[in-house]
Amino acid sequence: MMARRLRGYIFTLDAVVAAVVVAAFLVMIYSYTTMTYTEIGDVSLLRAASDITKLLYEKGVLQTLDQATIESNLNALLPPNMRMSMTLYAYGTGSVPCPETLSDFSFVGCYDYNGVPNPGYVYYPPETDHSTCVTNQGGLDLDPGLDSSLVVMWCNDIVSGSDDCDFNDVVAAFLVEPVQGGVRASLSRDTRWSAGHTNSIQVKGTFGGQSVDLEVFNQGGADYDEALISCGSGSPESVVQVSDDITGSHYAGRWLFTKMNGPLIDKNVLVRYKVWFR
Amino acid sequence: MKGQAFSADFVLAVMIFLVLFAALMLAFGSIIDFSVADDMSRHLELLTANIADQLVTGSGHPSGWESNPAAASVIGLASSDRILDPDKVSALAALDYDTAKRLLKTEGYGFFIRLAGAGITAGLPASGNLAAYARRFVMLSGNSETLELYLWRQT
Repeated sequence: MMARRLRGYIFTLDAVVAAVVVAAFLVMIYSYTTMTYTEIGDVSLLRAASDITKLLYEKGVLQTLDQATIESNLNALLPPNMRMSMTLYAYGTGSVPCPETLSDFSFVGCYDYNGVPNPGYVYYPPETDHSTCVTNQGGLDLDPGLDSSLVVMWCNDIVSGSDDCDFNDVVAAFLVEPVQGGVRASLSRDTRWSAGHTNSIQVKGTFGGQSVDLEVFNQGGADYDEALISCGSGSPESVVQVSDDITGSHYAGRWLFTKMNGPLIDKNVLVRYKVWFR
Repeated sequence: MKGQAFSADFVLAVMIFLVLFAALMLAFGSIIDFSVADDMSRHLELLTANIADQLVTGSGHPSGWESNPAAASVIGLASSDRILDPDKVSALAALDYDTAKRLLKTEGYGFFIRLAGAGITAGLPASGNLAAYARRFVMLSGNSETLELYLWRQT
């Protein structure tokens, strides 16, 4: 009799174990969907913060390096549900520290194309876990949807000592894909700028019947403020802290290199900002 | 008697299993429904964010599309990164709704764009029950401005 009852318990136990396994699986799916949703929220926050930083720069506010001026202008721009802190490290005209990873940056910029400034941007949107270079801007009229034979090469000078993107310099090469308004080249998130070395992205080939030869450097001239950065090691001349640092539970942060040369200031400035919902 | 006892145990076990199984199926169905709805919502949010990005960072194609909107294939409003060109903004506001929707590549979603400070709008106010919103901070004619973009669809 005992053995007969045991059979039923064992069967029920099997069912319970199976149910627990399925329930765990469902919880994992639910957690995954919720986690992805949070990342989209971060992107929205970061884009807003990037916009505001850009506005403060365009209005000449960041260049003052004055805490009170920056803070009052920042608060005037922030929507009611957002808070943002900002730290500015001024490095004079010398070099600023090299970035450690590509994913630290929302913007690096693209090299001038045939003397036309601002031909494109390099984005590292965290929602895709990929780095992208969208070359649709400025004077380069790429026609999306047409056949392309573009190749993107990610190079540095570690092996050969040169940065000419020859065989020894290429870290990775990718075909690009057409996207709305241009083309996108995806690079692995693991691909990194190599600190202390010359790094570049080169985009070569044809797109829509046009020959394309773009280069993105993190070391070079100074035609475009945010695009071309000399990096190395250095300590800041001054540090300006704007607003209290993070107190909220949900926030996102980003570093932005900005070479603020012009009538107001001629310094390399590293801006670190964090943003969160109230 | 032996067979009947085993049947009673078996029926009880099957009932427990069925109850648990039914509960799990209900939970699974809810998660699938939620996931499908969430996927649509997420896709719409990303699409909205990407179109807003294109508007405030891109100049469109061709870059001087505002002088000949009929030849435009992509709309962008920027003269440079996050600095809007008033002529492009006016050209967008003057476009008919269906043409603007096609050029913005909204994938069939309705759209509404508002530059509140300048009092400029384009598109149709959201009337669907699925909508997403993106807000970008830009410069227009030397002033800071907020660009709001809504994508919406009747589900």
